[in-house]
Amino acid sequence: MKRSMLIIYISAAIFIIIAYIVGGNDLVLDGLNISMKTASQSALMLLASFIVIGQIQVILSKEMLDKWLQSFSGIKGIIISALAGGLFPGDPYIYYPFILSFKEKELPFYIFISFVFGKHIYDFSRIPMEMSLIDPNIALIKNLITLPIPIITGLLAQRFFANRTMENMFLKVGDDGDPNHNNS
Amino acid sequence: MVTQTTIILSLLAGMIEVLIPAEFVQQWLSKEAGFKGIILGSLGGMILAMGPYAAFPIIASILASGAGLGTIVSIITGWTLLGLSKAPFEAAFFGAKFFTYKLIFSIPFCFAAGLLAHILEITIFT
Repeated sequence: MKRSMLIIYISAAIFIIIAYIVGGNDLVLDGLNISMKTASQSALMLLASFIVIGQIQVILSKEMLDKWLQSFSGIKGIIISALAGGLFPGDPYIYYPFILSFKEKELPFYIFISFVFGKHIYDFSRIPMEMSLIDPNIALIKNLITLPIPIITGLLAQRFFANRTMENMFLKVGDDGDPNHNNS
Repeated sequence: MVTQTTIILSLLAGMIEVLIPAEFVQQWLSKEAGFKGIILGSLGGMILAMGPYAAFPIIASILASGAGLGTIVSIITGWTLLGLSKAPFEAAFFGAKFFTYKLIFSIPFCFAAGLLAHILEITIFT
């Protein structure tokens, strides 16, 4: 069982116990009624979200995103990398090593920033889940409001760190700055 | 798998909804709470150090309890941008300095998103 699911099972059990302590059987039954309504409303959307997540993972290859990140610069590069971040599937332990692999490919720092904020804000595989588990209108409003954030952060990074690459931004103490020097 | 996930997520959402005190939501998270709800929402989103499967039912319960749009948008934005579950990875891959700067730099975006949603709620959605 995945760790996240285990946390949900444990949390649900804890909340049932708290509900029983606070309000007895009545409060637990109230909670169960709400749960049944929520389940019937969100089941179909949740199924759709799993299909979308699966499709994104199949369609996108790391090679394709690799090419996107290195082919564009300027505002076009910022938008493409933010979208690439949003399309990149997986958890932090998957996408951070991926973007870290660009450190030695002279990737501009602002492209890196757009990718990271694009992953956080856009994450397209999360949208169906947001819609099914929270509310479709709230998800739409939230996504429209936050749409410019990765672009703004990318533009700010470009403005203040125009000539910096990932490599010289993440130089550690003791590194000599020579791109041909293998630090590992 | 989907059925099982739906049931357990709905169970979690339902139980949280009945347990959140209505007075607390009204005072701190509702539309009337204004910027107080946005600040609390952003910080609440930050400490929701869990994946979407666990975080979204909790956010849905807060919404169902009567929280304002500004609060909900700031919770989701806080969870995506400031979420502490990503902290160990960011610090490990890019250093603690990068993580700290990114966190500080991201806070105004959470407030701005919440504020914009709050303005939308009081001007258009009332």
